[in-house]
Amino acid sequence: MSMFFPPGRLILRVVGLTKRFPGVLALDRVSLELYSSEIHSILGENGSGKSTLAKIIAGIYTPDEGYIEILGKSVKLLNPIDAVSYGIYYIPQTPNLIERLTVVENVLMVMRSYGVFARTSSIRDLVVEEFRRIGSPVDPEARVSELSYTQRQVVELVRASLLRVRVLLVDEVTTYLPTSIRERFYGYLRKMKSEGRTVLLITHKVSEAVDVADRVTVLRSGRVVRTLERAEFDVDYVRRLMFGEDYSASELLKNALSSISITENRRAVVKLDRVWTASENGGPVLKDVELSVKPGEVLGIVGISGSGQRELAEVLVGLRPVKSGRYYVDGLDVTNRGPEVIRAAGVGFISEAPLYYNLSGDLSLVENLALAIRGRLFLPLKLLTSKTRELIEKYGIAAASPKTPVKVLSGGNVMRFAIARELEFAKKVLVVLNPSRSLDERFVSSFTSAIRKLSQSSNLSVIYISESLDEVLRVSDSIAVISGGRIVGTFTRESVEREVLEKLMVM
Amino acid sequence: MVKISLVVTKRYKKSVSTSTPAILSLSLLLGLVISYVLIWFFTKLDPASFFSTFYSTLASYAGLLEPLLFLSLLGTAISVAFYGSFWNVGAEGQYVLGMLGAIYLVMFSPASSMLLGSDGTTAGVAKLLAVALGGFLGSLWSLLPGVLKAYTKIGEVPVMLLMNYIAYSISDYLTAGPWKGRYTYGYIRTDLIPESSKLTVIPGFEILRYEVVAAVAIVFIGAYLLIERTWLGLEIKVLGSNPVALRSSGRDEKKTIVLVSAISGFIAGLAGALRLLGYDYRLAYNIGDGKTGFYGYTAILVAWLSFRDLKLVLPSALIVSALSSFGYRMQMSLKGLLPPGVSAFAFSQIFIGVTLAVYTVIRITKEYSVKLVVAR
Ligand SMILES: Nc1ncnc2c1ncn2[C@@H]1O[C@H](COP(=O)(O)OP(=O)(O)OP(=O)(O)O)[C@@H](O)[C@H]1O
Ligand SMILES: [Mg+2]
Repeated sequence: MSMFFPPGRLILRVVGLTKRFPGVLALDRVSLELYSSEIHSILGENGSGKSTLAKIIAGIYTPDEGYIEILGKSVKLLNPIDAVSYGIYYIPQTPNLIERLTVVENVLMVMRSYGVFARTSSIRDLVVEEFRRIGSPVDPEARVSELSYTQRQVVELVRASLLRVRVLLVDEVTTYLPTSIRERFYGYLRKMKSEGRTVLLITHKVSEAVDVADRVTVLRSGRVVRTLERAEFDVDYVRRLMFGEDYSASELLKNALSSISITENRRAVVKLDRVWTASENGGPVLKDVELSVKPGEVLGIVGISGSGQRELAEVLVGLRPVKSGRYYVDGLDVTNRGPEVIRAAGVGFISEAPLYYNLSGDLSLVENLALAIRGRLFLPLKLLTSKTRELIEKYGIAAASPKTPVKVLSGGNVMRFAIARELEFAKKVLVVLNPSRSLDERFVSSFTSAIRKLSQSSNLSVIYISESLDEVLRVSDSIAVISGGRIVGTFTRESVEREVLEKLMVM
Repeated sequence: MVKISLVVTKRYKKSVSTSTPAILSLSLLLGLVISYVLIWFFTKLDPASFFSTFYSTLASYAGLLEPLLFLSLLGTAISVAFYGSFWNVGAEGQYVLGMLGAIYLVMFSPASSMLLGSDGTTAGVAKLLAVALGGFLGSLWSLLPGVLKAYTKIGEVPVMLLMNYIAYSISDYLTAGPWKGRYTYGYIRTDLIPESSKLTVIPGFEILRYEVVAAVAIVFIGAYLLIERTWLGLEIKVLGSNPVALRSSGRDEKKTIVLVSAISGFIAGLAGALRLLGYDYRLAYNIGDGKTGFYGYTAILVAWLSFRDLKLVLPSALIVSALSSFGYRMQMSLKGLLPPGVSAFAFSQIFIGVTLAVYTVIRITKEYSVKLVVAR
């Protein structure tokens, strides 16, 4: 392919990039080289500056100091369009699609603005073909608003794959993809590489990065710790570079489940009795769902993306009406009584999209904390502020101050804050939907152990819905598999083999 | 084939505030220059008289104070609603209802003769009741579209525009019918309100009234406390920025919509009552013919300029007051200079329009990057 270069050619060089935000030094003299035919992975804990770096290369932010060279010439990328003209494309951490358009329309839109033109119908075929190739179940004619978060990310990936980009920046997109799609996507990245293109891959999964990347650069507090060549790859070593010397792999293992016994005869705190619910356009998305969760029990729910997980979570917190069946919290019939009653019954909610479901990005951390509680007349601002400080401290949230608006936090830190708030709030039940997507490994493991602890010490019942089987296996006492909107099997953790669950998921 | 497309992308902002006094002043300046060029094109008006008119508008600050006070009140009313994404374009109607409430209390209610007796000691109570009734009616007027929005999802904007006309009609009906005055020299209007119910002129500032100045201060501080310090204010802000989060936090979205509409209407009604007791002293027929000064509409601009930032309501109100009174003066000086068929009124509006357009463009380009992409 003529537009790409032979391997090993220096394509893009970042030199001494520094970026400050109010109260934060996001990047501190970062330098990096990207070559043709390279998959270069950026690793670092939440808030270490990964997205900021990618956004500068994509022309979304401009650096305070430092510069970027492309093919040996210093360039100014003042906006995304400048970056596009050099063949740079950025897939953001949270899908950036227009909800009311269909999948195909979303793809077409970007192709247009990237100067790729063709007849609509032929592009449509191309898109359909691409989805088939990547092995994804996304319907190209579906409206984006109906897609799950993961499906939206697949759309982003397909969209990027259709553009003839020279440098692809992938920010944390691959984390939750079903294994099969992820494999194919990595296959696709390798193909890009063999054509002489360059991929910058941001991920929290150290093992994956080490698998797929040619080189790895570790960021910490905005600084480059090291860039490693393949020969130096070692998962433990990389983790230590990311999180500091005190970190060891055993910490992850330590949190592996110590099995506990739930008193069998205790009455269920959460009970769904033959619940049906409908999608936006009226079709059933949950079918005859029966669930019951005892005090102190963690029920994991696994399934492939788009099997009804989001809708189940919405029913559990009262955001989606139940069409038929009953829903009880602690013996109280809360069917269709809305979040007012359900939340007052002590049900907390951690979601995959905290800025959509849980927080107001425009408001400060303090105000968002207040949103979780109720009060009369004046806000106890002093109290709220000190409580926010406490959470920032306890959960290691990178925020300049309690007054910082939530939307300026890094993706992982928004999630950390949402988690912190709900862990403090939930008294009886906690509904968790795909929490770990944007979290770094260390935080995921302290989060899952916090859930274990709370369930044991405070009798918190947890419904842990996740597309990641590993996570569910790690955290749950019992596991249900959801497929096509039905619960197709429920097991205690000891009694089930991983293979069985995997088979059921795709049934 | 060449294809041109317009690409609009949202900028990631460093700062969160979307509007600043600097942007306001810049728009004013650019607006002045651009509208002068436009006006010059038709009238060849010399720059000296254009800019000296502007200067004298600012210099005669007294003329600005009165619109400033009322635009501040109404601008605050609408801003509070904007925080909750309740697009209160009905402040004009609520303002009129406030006038009706006030005049009813001091002239036609049973309480009036009791409270406004000869000695005048209870006049203060009457004024207070009149203002409260005005606020109450204003909030009823705003509550209706609020309830419709909350419970039926009918958009508030068309309902409110309609209700503004209904408010005018009610006022006209009362003015020409039951409330028609006896001493009106043939005009259709009410009599003047009793002397003791008029607001108190501040000595040395003919244009100011103690009660109005106090009301502006109280309303402004009250609104600020509401938005920044109370639970309800928090709920209003979340309603405006992420209603899903409001719902999933277990709060009643509908109730919040209804409350914010009522509060906003209350302030607008209060402004109407103060206007009647302090300046107009009576209602006149054809009130929709500019007799309200269209303050309820103009204040939408104030709220838009200061979008979701109460601190900017006062500077915005000042700018809009200056704009409108400058427009009015231009209208005077343009008479005779214009080609037939072009009204002076249209020209006075050019200035306001251009300035606001410049402001909007500056803000959009600050938040979004707009680019023409030419592709082959
Ligand atoms: N627009 C912004 N305004 C203010 N601060 C910002 C902004 N964007 C990022 N930051 C801050 O810069 C730091 C680095 O953020 P960045 O998004 O680059 O982290 P990250 O490595 O991508 O983290 P994550 O793994 O959580 O996505 C964080 O402390 C964040 O709060
Ligand atoms: Mg990030």
